[in-house]
Amino acid sequence: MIGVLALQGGYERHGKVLEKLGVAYRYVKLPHQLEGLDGLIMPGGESTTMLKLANTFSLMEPLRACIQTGLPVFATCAGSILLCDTVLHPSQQSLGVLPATIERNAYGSQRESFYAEIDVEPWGLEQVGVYFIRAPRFVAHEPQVQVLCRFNQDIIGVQWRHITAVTFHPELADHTVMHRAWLHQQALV
Amino acid sequence: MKITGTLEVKTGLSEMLKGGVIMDVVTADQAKIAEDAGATAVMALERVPADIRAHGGVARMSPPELIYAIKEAVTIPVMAKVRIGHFVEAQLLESIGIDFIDESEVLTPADEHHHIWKYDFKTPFVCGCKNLGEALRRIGEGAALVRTKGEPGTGNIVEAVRHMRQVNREIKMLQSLRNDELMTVAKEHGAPFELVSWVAKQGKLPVPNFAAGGIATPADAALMMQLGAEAVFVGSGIFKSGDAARRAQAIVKATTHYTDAAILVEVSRDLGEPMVGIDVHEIPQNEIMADRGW
Repeated sequence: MIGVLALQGGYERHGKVLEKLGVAYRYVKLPHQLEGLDGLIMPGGESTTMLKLANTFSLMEPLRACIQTGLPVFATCAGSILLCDTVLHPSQQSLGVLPATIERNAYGSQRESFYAEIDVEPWGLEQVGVYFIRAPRFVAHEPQVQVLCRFNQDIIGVQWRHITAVTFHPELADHTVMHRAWLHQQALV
Repeated sequence: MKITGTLEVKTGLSEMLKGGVIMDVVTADQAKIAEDAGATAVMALERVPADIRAHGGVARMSPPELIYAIKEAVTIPVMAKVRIGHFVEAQLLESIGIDFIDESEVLTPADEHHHIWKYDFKTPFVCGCKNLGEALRRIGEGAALVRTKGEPGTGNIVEAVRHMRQVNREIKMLQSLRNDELMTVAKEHGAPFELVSWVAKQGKLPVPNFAAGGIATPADAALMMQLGAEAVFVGSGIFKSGDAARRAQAIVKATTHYTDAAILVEVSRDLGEPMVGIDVHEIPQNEIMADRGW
């Protein structure tokens, strides 16, 4: 059972991808819905909104505990902002479970949002079409964090132990390759 | 290679706003209150719809200095309104770097025959609709998001409910039709045949559909979500109420937990006075904002 954090944002599109892959999932809005999960997807949306809701409904500590004790996580965009131990532009609270620094809104306003095809070499993926929507970028990371992919010079995807975090949206494109690769890589299928 | 400004890139932001609340604000301070309350975006305005309604006169795009001040104050997306058909106001907003443009019936229309050709812009547009034909005409012009028109500035949900039900009923009807009936229906709706045909096959609109126009309480927001809205716009309902910050937070929580009645009760307690509402049947016909646009 995969959980999809559903406080706000692009959670339905992640759900649709999992449906296409025949993977069971449920939405997570409250702490008890974290119980018994094999993996968790943290979607994009507005990180400030998600933080507010996670704090109000007492999800921060249970989320942090689950992730620290080994729950595999795949985070996109705002989800990655929630994971990083340092958030810039401006700084804000986070779960602090991924030893990396992320800069919010790194490309400017929506006018600068874009589509691009990227390679995820460690996973053997080439020319995967993905969307960057008011996207952040990783600006620093501890040496043990693996860089999964870059766009030009920017780090746009990282992995550390069971945590995978990307700055873009594979779920908005009409394919399932990225989710399938994550599920295989974490031995969830 | 970066590809910017496509309809898919534009609807990408609509997708990220789902399940959230977009709040009308008229000052940088209000924008900050909205962001702190958990708004997913703010709509920068000179006057909220209730005041536009009360003061009368021509309502136009907000002045750049106000929009810049609000953009400076928050990190969430900033939207702003242009008059229907006023593509130069839209050019100004795009140049300012606004994240979303609302071609809105709340402002006085600049053109009584044409809406903006939204494919000319890299910035996404949201437009209001009362029915499926209107939604598909706006999508045909390149809108990346539609919303109910409702009746802005009234604090009365009745028109938003009517418009949401109308669009969803018409989608369901399309699904029951044979291919040879779709052209006739496209003619009746005054909508592009390709889009009518797409909706008949997919059973949904090609872009997200949000609720707007008259939302004043957490229960109003949850009602629209249960009726199929994918997010809500709140205009006068927050900053025309007794305790704006508290009400704003409550509506954010209600929009996330829209099917959980126990949480809805909890967030609806002790909110202070809601905005004073207006019975839409008492509004003179020539002041109905939902009838602007075509």
